[in-house]
Amino acid sequence: MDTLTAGVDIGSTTAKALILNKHGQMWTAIIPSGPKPPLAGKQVFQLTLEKGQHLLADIKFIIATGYGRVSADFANKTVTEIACHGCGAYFISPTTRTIIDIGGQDAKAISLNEQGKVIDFIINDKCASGTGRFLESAAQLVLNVPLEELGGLSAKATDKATISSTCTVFAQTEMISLLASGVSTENLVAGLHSSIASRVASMVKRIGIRPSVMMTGGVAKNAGVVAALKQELNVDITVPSTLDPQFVGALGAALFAQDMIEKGSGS
Amino acid sequence: MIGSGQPSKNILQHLNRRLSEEPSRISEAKQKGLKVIGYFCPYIPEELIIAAGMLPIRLAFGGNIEPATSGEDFLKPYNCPFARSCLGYQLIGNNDYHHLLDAVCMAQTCESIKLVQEYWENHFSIPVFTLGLPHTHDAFRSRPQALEYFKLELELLRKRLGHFAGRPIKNRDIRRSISLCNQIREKLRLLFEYPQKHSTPIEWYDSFRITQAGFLINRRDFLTELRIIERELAGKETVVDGDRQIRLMVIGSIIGIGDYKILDLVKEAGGNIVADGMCTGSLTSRKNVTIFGIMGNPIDALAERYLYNVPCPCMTDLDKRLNRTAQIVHAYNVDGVIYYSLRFCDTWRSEYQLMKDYLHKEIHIPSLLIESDYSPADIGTIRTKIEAFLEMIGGLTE
Repeated sequence: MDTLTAGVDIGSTTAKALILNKHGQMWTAIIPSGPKPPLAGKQVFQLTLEKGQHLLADIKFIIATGYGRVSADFANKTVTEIACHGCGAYFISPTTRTIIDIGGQDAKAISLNEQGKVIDFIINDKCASGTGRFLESAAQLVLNVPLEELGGLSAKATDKATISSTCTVFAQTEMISLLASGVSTENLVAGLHSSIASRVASMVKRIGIRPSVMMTGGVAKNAGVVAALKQELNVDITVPSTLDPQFVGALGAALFAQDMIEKGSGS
Repeated sequence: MIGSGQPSKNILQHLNRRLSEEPSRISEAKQKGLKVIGYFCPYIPEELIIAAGMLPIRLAFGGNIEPATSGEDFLKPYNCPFARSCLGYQLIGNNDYHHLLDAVCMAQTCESIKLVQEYWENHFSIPVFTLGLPHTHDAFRSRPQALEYFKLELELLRKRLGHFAGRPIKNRDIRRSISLCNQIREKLRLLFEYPQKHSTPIEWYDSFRITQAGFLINRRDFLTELRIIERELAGKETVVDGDRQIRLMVIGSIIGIGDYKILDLVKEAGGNIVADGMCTGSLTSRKNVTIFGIMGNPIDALAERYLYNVPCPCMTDLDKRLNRTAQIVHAYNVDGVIYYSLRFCDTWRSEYQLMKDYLHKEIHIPSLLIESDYSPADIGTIRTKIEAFLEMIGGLTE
């Protein structure tokens, strides 16, 4: 009988679940966290079960991670998203030493050793600037374009606008006045990406950049931010290709769950 | 008040009861003429206040968002929340001790505390006795003149306190109060030494809270309380902290009475704080005041002890802070250091990277920076940071 484990990553913006079997086969689902993160965790886990046509009883160990982990009463254990992103990224590429994770409301940098163990980490906790929320509000409230299109827009930029405000709200005002003064949407988006990149880069530099560098989290899907970060840090950055970068945390959780079973603490 | 958020332990019961009676006791004593002197930073020798027959109260209250917010009326929202609270408590009157004050002593420590002083004097019209501090006191070349200056400042403070008390402070009285304070310090030091071992009858958390009770209670009575605790501990079964518990040290900005957010979160996450380098913790009892010979000048002895005892980063002695942290890490078998900075505490926050590099490169100990204030808004993030830090040190165990 195939041993299945699950990782449920309940973030500030989205809830992700991943079911993993011994051969590395995965089933995933993602939904918005919404106003009730505990409920979102349950729902997304249920969805994943359905996708793989698994039964709850088949899942031998469940680990919850992300901000909503504390309220996930269906999980056997909770592990922080720091450890999970570290574990997930190392599984995808064992040469990973530095991870940059930009999620919905925070940005993290994680440093790994040769064995994939976390040796240092940093979480920005100032505000939502330099995170997915910053991009989301710019896309929806100022530019009126879908979030997914930002990366493509900045690729067409001829120049990049300078956005000096670090506050998400003030930056919106600044962007509106830039648009009014005739700056093109493409150039504005390029400026937006480089503004995020420079903020995240200064944080990453504090823990030191050791290659190879992997980027995870929702913002890793925006090629514009990845390119701007590469330039800012002067280092190559890989983005997982076999798995949606938003699921790296859930993958790490499912992997830890496998460890737990091997160590004999599984139910 | 001491021990909030934690189940009250047997050993603290008597002390907690005494503490709850304290404000009314002080009020009664005030009617009979007792004068109450508040102070903020532990560069002020309590001995001088006690020798003048007055009651010293260390105004180290924190953790309450309300006074921190109302302090914004005077200071800026981006001044440290402790300094803002110092004014806020006086402004909104929700503190059992602030309204009992007759005067305050202010050591010239960090910029925020200096700002606080101006308001006490000019807005609240409460007499303020300042104590100048030579900030470059530890540099080799400036040490002799720095100490001389500090002695002169202490002499001046002695005169002003004596004048305020209505009787000059005699050497004999200072010697007596030094002896009292030394006895208190010795007993407190013992409490902080217990957690060096894995099996201890008292946890660091309790020693920390007992120390803070001593900021408020009449010191002679506090000594009696310490004797009671000592007896309790002698008969108490030893608490063995599991070998798997991660041993932590906490250093950084002031953790005031009532400011237990970080400490409680560490405990909840399964970390065990066994040592500190806090100016509201073990540092206050670190060294005795030693008078050399029968003819020795007690002011000289106070100067030697108080100028060098608490190495606040507002003073220029980084090496001393680094070395002392390393010493404690070794003595207490510490696995990781939690570096706490109050938001906008320039004094501590600016030094973090130097401390982190030293701990990491020189003694191979990981550290975690936690920046916070008195609002509960960041509890989720801080919990994640602490848990991730513990996972990093200990690996993942069930």
